[in-house]
Amino acid sequence: MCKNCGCSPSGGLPHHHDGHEHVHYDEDGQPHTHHHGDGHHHHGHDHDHHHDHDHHHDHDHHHHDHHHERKETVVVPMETAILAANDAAAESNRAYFRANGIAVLNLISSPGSGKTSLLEQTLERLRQDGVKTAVIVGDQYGELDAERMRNRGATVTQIQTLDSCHLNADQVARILPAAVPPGTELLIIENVGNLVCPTAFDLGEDHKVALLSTPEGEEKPVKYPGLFAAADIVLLTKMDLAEILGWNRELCQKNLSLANRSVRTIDVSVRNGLGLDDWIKYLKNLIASKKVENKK
Amino acid sequence: MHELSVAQALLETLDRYQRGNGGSVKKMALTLGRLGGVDPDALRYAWPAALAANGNRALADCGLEIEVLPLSFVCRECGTKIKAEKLTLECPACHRETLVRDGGRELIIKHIEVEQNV
Repeated sequence: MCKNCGCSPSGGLPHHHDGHEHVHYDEDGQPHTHHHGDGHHHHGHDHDHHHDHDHHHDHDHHHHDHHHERKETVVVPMETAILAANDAAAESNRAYFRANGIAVLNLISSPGSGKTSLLEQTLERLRQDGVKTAVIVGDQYGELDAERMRNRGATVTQIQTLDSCHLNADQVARILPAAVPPGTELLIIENVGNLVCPTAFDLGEDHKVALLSTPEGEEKPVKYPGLFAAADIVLLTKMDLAEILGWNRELCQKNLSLANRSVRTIDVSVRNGLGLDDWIKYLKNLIASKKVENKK
Repeated sequence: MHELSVAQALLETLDRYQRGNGGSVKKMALTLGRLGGVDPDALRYAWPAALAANGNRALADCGLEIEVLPLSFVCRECGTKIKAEKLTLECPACHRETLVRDGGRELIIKHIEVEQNV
């Protein structure tokens, strides 16, 4: 009987040989290679004796070269961005925006911190000033935000992200150029209301803009530092509620500088118009910088 | 929970590599900055579901090895460089609130381990 698999001419363990090749060892340790399924048979005579191997078997027993299937694990250095595919799509968006001299901002905040209300007023102001503006607004479901912003002189396109909690660069790429036609001076992307997820996905913008409303308290910048670390400017919204809420400016600024030392802030209230002039000035400076860039 | 999107992005990268080079991918090592917006626990949680939904069986046994980098800071006054687990402003050398963060948003695939027949 073979020591390997128990195969024997009589009374061996049942098993299938299906055309594979392997080495069997006789009980005296002599190897014999055979290929199953090509005419090799276990012989009907009883091996109740030891082969002494001083003779050749004269039945059709083949010796074959034997290949070991050896596996090896190799370490392959990558050093690539985890979101490389999104980054590539973002770069292609950026190339379109650059070619057309379009300034692009990505607005990110918690739901309810005032992105859409701010944009309603922003679009009215920009229309008065004759700035050609486009808005892309991301929500999981519905067109409510887009409807609020329509009829204010801008090209407004809604993206429904469905199950996704953020916009990605490919979703923006798919609606170019229709959503942002050549001639547009400023594109504002209102991301899905979410303080965390949208931060990781570059859309091809010049800057991320964070909104932080006074009812959210002062600690968000240290609890969710990713957005504030990435933002060029933070709009402190619903400033008209600050006093009622006992909102602590010093603490909020300190927490913001923990996340980002160089971040600028503007106090904003869409109710009483606080900060809107500064915000519009920020937008126009960005637009102007694009025009200078294009002339170069 | 955008970590499922992140997991799918990782699998796309692995799939492209595996189809081009063969073998079966056993491990992927990632480096995450603390401010990169990807939560290691959520990513580990999403990984098996993303693997199960992926059609390329040569990726089926791929494990994740995640290294979260400490935060790095440089003092803008005295130039001292430190690593810390938390956000901080105070320089341990000159005791002023003069630290500036250095990076922290890294999201990098460091290397992969591939089993090949030889």
